[in-house]
Amino acid sequence: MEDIILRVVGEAGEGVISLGEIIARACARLSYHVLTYRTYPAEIRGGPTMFQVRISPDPVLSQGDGVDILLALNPASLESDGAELRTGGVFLYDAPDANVSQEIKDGARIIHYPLPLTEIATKELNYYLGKNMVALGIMTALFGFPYNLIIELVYQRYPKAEKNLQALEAGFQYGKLHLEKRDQFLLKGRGSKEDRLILTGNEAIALAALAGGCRFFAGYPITPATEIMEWLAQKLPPFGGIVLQMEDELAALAAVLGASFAGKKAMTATSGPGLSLMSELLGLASMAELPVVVVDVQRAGPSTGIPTKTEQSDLNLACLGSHGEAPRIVLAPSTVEECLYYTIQAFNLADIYQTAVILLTDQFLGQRLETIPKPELLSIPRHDRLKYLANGEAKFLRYRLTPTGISPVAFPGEAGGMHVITGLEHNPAGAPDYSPETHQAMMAKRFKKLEPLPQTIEARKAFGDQEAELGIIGWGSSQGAVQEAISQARQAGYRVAALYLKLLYPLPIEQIREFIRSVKKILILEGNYTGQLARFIRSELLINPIQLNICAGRPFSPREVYSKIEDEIMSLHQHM
Amino acid sequence: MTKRSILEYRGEVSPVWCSFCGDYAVLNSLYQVFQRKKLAPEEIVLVSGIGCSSRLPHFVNAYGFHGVHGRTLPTAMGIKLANPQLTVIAVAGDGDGFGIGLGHFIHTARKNPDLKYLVMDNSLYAQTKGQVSPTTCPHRVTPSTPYGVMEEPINPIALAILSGATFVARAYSGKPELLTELLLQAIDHPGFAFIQIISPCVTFNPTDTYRSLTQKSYLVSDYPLEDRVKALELAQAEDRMALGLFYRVRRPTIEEAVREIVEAAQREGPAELAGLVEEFNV
Repeated sequence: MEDIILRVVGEAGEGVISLGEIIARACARLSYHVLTYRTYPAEIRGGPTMFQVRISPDPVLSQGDGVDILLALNPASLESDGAELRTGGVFLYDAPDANVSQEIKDGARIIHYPLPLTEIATKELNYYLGKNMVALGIMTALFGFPYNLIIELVYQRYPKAEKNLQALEAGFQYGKLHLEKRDQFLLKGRGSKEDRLILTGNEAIALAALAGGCRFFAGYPITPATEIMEWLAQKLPPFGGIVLQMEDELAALAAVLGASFAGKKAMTATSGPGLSLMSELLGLASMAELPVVVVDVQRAGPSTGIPTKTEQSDLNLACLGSHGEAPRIVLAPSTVEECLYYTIQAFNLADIYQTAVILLTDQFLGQRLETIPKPELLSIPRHDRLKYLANGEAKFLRYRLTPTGISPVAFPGEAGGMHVITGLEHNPAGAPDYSPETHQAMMAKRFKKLEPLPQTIEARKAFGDQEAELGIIGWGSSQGAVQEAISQARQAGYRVAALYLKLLYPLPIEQIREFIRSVKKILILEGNYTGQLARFIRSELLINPIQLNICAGRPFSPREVYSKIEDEIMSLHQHM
Repeated sequence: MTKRSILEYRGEVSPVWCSFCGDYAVLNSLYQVFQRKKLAPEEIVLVSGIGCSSRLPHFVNAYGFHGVHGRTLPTAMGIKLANPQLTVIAVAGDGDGFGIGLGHFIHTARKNPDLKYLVMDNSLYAQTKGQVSPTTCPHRVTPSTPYGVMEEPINPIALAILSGATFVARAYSGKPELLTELLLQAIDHPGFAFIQIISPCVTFNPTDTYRSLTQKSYLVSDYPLEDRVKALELAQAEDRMALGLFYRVRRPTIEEAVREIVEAAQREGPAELAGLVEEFNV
């Protein structure tokens, strides 16, 4: 078995995601690597839902292209999803929906399994909602999943619904007794046992926040970020921390800034609409030099946009949102594993540089399950704020001008450290001061303290060939698709490299410059309409890159990246 | 406890208010209350938003958070929850507290954090030179309502009581002894203590003068302070200048609720990170 893409489609409410997650977890337990991808409507009931698991003995980098095993619980998207089936693929569908077009039937040698899902669920069990579990039972028999493992995972997901186990059993029996296996797919498991975790980007951020010292979270529910708040609400109290759901995002960030002022490591998590509301308070965090971590799990915008679909369109807002010029730090992990690392890093950097750190992920990364090596979370060093020691040497000045621009802090309750922080321009003591000299000096302080940042953290990751013909620059969750496309391109004899930026503000200009110098042509790839990173790079480095933008509510696929690479290298050759 | 001098609480920044601004009385009462309660300056945090009255934290030798317009209460609650030992006092004006930040007033009241919330109410936006505010009376002409105010003012006392505030009072800068007395009681009250302080603007509000306000003011009569119906009845008196404590009840604070949750969660000792990681094992 090499690399299988299994997709479940149906309507919201039919249990597509539950079914898909159980399969993903089963495969992870069987020592496969998995990466999931889901799209679903913003409505609770109705509308097309898709859950896909990519399963491989090797680490999975992206959602991939095409489908090997397709289960349709519902006829709605039979045609479009059916068309993506690869040669030798398997198509399982509810028997009444069997009016699949002749084109799909004949097109690419596909193995069909019309199944009596609704019939078993309704007639045998009188439990229509159990259709997904009937399908799971049948797939368990067909693909050789250990039945006990599936029972355990179903029970974990539905501890109280005995009916689901009955539906599973009915499906399993049907599969064993009535289904003749005509395909080649078997998922019995790999012998090897490695220490691995399976979790989503949102879960990774929540876990790492806790590991990074976060003990105060205030938030407001928003798709697709809510899981971070919900997980922490459960897990922070045993660690002495707390989660508060506030009346809006303004109150959420205000409470977090209050807790930060009082000495806590504090965080909020939101999506684009919430970040828009938080902009004014982000400016305060920058101005008053308050550490805070703000997660933005991006979704398609503008305005309410498409709440459940992925996009990378909040970069401008994250880097520049808020009036005036308010420097902050913006980080963008690309994988679930990087979500862990950069979240801990975010808490460290917030405290070291005393400013807001925005962690930009997106729906694709935030809600996808990935298997990752077990992390050593505690081995990542933790940093706290530089504290003022009341040793009588110098009078405490909260915004003392220092060579690094970083001033020691005191927390309420500490004698000798009394001060007022303010969003007004202020002198080193923190008192309002509008003199030209003060404003100039304090603006410089707030910007200059971030200057060493690109050199002090892992600001980027590079892949591919030295001296490449084409250099791709990207950020965030598209990294896996680009890595796969590059491997394919190298096999085809093209020399391609990629630079994935993890630090988006302040941009690691020198590192980008170095990369640009090492390649012939630059392609900037982003999941937004205008090319927000491209604009920053164009203006900072005076280059004119090619852009590849998609703005369709879905992630990049390796195939489309590869085809762009091919086109661009061809045109380069033609022009030579 | 050591005896403290009132001078200890004077900040290095001098007040920037107009002469005879009602906010001076609030500042002075605060100094006195701090001294009488023997509060250490480092244990006090003053939180404010934007407006004339929101400058107050700068004039006190204590910790202060002079934040964003309207977000005073959630900020103050974040501070209090992060360190419940602190005495956290939120100060605002009627624009900050009843206009841009009104939503937080309701939600903070129902959470009942142990915060003291002083709203210095001059019935207009003074920092921006006299526009209508949420407590301005109908028909009044202001720079932004040259044909007269069109809407009804809000009723902060009634709103506080209905929202779940556990200490609701009205004071007046023209009666500083009563103000100090109410502040002392508010500090002693374990919960969200709201005081609407009628604080005349001598520069932009020619109508609500000390003379007219003093004439309109009277003390609330004695009644059981937990009587919500009576308190609401009084709060709706037409002239709206009854002064004193309207309502006081004891209800668990959000800090107490949080402590309970944390203690219950830690009954078997604090959690370990390694155990959490295990939960994600494949």
